[in-house]
Amino acid sequence: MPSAAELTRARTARRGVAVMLVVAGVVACLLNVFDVAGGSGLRLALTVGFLLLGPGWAAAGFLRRAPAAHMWLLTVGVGVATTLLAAQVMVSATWWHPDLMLYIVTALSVPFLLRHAVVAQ
Amino acid sequence: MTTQDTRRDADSSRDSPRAAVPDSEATQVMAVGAQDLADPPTTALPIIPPPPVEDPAPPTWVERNRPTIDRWLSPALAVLALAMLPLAVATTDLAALDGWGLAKVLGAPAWLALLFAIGACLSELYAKRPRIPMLGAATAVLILCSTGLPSVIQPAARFGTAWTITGFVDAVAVANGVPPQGLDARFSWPAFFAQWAWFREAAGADQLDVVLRWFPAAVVAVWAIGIYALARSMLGGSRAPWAAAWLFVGLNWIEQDYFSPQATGICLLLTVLTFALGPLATRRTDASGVPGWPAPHVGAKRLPLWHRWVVSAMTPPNRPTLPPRQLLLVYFCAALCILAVIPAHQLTPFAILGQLALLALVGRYRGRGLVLIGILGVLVFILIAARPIWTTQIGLFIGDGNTGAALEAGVADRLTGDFGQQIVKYGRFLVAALSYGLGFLGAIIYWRRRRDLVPIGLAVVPMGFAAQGYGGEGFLRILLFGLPILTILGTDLLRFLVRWRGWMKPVLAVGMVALFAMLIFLRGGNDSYQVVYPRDAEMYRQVVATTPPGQNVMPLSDPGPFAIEGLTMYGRGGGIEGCGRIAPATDKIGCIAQINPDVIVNFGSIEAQGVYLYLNKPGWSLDLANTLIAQGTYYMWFQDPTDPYDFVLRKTGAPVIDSATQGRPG
Amino acid sequence: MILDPGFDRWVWLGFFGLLVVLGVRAWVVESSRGRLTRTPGRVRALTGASVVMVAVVLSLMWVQGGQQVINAVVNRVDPVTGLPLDQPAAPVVAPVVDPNAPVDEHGAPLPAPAGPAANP
Repeated sequence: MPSAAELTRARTARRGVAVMLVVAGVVACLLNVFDVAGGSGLRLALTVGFLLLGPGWAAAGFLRRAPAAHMWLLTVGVGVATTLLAAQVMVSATWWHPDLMLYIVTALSVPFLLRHAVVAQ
Repeated sequence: MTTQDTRRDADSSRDSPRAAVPDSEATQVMAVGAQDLADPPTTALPIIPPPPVEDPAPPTWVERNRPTIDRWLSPALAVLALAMLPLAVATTDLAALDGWGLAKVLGAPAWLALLFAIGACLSELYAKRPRIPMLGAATAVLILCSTGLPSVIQPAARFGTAWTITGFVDAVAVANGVPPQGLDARFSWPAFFAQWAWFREAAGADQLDVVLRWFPAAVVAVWAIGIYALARSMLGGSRAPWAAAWLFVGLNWIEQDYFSPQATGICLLLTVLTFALGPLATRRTDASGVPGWPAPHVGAKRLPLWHRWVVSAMTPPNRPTLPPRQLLLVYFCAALCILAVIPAHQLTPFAILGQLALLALVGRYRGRGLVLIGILGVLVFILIAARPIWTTQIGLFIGDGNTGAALEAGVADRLTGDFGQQIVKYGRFLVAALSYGLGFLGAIIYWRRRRDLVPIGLAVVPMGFAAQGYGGEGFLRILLFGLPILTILGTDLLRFLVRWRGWMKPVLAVGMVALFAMLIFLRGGNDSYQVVYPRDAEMYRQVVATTPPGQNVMPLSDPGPFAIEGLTMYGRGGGIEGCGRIAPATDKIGCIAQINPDVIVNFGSIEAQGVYLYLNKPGWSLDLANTLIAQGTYYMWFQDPTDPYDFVLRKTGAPVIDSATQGRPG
Repeated sequence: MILDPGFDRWVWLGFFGLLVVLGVRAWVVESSRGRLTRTPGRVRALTGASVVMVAVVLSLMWVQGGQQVINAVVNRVDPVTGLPLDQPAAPVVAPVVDPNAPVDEHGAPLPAPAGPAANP
C-alpha cells in the first residue's frame, strides 16, 4: 500500500499531465487555425502528441488507484484506438476534414482533461 | 478470573493448590510441584549458552556507502550513457557497413553507452529500495541505447518498408482521404494510413521523416510499459516486472516496430491483453454456484464431461475486485481497442481474438462479449469495407494452406547472403529458440507456483498462423505475438534461479549484457542495405517533382526510400517472370529491356544489398548504369556527388518537368 | 445477386446497434447486485435483445455479400463471376501496380462490381 506522500505525489503528477495535455491541445488547435509554423517539428510534435495522448488520458483519468503503468498503457491504447477509428470514419464516410476532426477531438477531450486536472485520483 | 472459568470443575487432585486461595475471583496459577505426578515430564531443551560474541567484521566500503551508492549510482550511469551517445554518433562510420551490419562499425562509445545503460538498470534493481521513477528512466535510457541506437546514429529511418508505408500515407493525404484502389491489398485496411495522413494534415507538415526515425524506439517503449504492467499482474513483486520488460526488449530482434500498422496493432494487443489478465482477470467458481442449478447430493454420481462443460460455459466468471464502473470503463476501452485494430491491420485482430477466446473459454476474465464483438467486427469489416479484397482475391480466404511453401519461403530464402549475413540469420534462430526455451521452462516454474497452464496456452495460440501460409513474415509474427507471454514466463524462471542460488545474480547480469549486445548485432545485421540517408529521400522527392504523371518509375531493388511520394502517379512496370527485383536477376539488361521503365532509380542501399545479400560484384549497379548509357537507351539524369551509387537514369526522350517552374504535383 | 453499396449503411447501423445493446447489457449486469439470485428480468431481456441483434447483423451480412463469400469458399468459385478458380492464391502483400488503373477522383472507395454475373 503506497504511503500518503506517494499517493499525493502521484496525484499531483497526474494533474500536471492533464494540464499539459490541455495546453498542448489548445495550442495545437490555435496553430492550426492560424496556420503558423507549418513545417516545424514543434507543431507536429504538439499535434501528434496531443492526438495520441489526449483522448487516452481523458479516459484513463477515471481509473482510480491504478498504477502508473496501467494508466499510461490505457492512455496510449485508447488514444491510438480513437484516432484510428476517427480516421477510418473519415475515410469510410468520405468526409475528409483533418482540421475539423482535430477541433472535434480537442473539444471532446478537453472537458474531461480539465475534470481530471481538478479531481485527480 | 470470572465465572467463565470452568477449571474449578476439574479433577479434585488438582484442586489442592487452589484451595489455598480463598478468593474465587483471583487469577488461578498452576503451581508446578504438586502436579508432577499428573503431568508428564517436560520436554524442554536444556539451555545452551550462546557462542562468544566476536567483533563483527568491519563494514566494507560498499556497505558503508550503500545509501549513497543506491541513491546516485544509477542516475550517474544513466547520464553517462546519454553522454556517450553523441560520441557514438561521431565515431561510427556508416560508410563502412558490410554484411555484418551495424555492430561491426559501431565505435566504442556506442558499446559503452549500452554498458552504462545496463549498469543503470541493474544498479537500481539491486538497490535496497528500488525507486520506480528511476527504474522507468533507466528503462527508457536502455531502450534508447539498444533498440533506439540506430535511430540515434543513423540520420534517417532505416528499413525500406517504413518508407513505403510513408508513401501510402502520402497517397491517402494527397487524395483527400480516399485510399487508392487496385494498388496494394493493404489499402483495404486504411485506418493506419488515414490516421497519419490526418496527423500530417492537421499539423501542416508535408513529410513525416522525423516520426519515421524515432518510431521504433517510441513503440518499443510503449510495448515495454505493456509488458511491465502485464508482468505486475502475472508475476507480482517489485523487481521481477522490470526484469520482464528488459528481457522483452532484449529478445525483440524481430523488428516489427518500424512505422507500420502492425506496430500500432501490437500496442493495442498489449493493452487488451494487459487489462484482460489484470483488472478484468478473475476465475470461474465451481458449477454449484450457478444460480438456478441445484447443488449435487452427497454421493451423487459425477455428471458427464459434456454436461459439466455446458454448465461451466453457462457460469459467468466471478466479478473482479474492481468497482463496477471502473470495470465498465476498462471493458469499454478494451472493446474500443479491439474495434480499432480491425481496420488497421489484417492479422493482429486474429491474434487478439485467439488469445481472448482461449481466456474466455477457461473463464479467466470478465467480459467475454469482447470476443463476440471482435469476431463480428472482423466479419462486417471484411465483408463491407474491404469488399475489393474478397471480390478480387478470394484465394486468400480459401487459403492455399501452403505451409510447405511458407516454410521454405520463411526459412530457406532468408538464409542467403555473405558470411556475415548468414551469421546474423543463424543468430536470429538462436535467440528465437532462446525465447521459446525460456518461455517453456518458465511455464514449468509458473505451473509449480500457481498450477496454471493458461499462459503457455496464450503463447501457443499465435502458432495457428502457420496454417494460413502467410509467407516468410508469418513466422516473425508468430514469435512476436507470443513474445510478451514467453518473456513473462521466462522472467519467472529467472526469478526462480536468482532465489535458488545467489551467484546467479552476476551470471544473469553478464547474460543481460550478452543479450543486448546480441540484440544490436541482430537488429543491425542488415543495415548495410537497410540504412537510408536523407539525401536518398531528397533525391526521390526531386524525381517526383520532375517526372510527369503516368510514366513508369522503377527501382533496381527493394531497399531505400522508394515511392515515398506520388504513389498513384506512376506505374512501376514489372510482372515479368524472373525480374521481380533487378538486383538478384541473372539477366539484368534483358529484364530492363522487357520492363522498359521511363525512370530507373538506384540508392546506395540497393548497391549494398546486391553485394551483401545477392553476392553480386561490388559496383554492379554502376556497371549496369554505364551499360545502359552506352547502349543509348538511358542517360544519367542525376548522380549524388557524395554517393555515386545514388543515381537516377531516365529514358532517352522521355519528358521531364522543369522543377524550377513547377511546384510539387498532386 | 447484385450488391447495392447503398445498403451498406444498414449493416453498419446494425452492428452499432449491437454494440449499444451489448454495452447497455454490460452496464446493467455490472450494476446489478448479486449473482446468487436468479438473473434479473432486465438482464434477461437485454440478453434476448443481444441475441436478436446478432441475428439481425448476421442476416444483413448474409444479404450484403455473405452468401456470395460462403458460396465461393465452399465451392471454390469466384464470388463475382461464379466461375471456378484456376490460378493459385495471390499473397496478401503483393504490391500489384497496374499502371493503367484509372485514378477515381470522385472516390467511393468501394467499387461494387455491378456485373451481370449474378449467382443464381
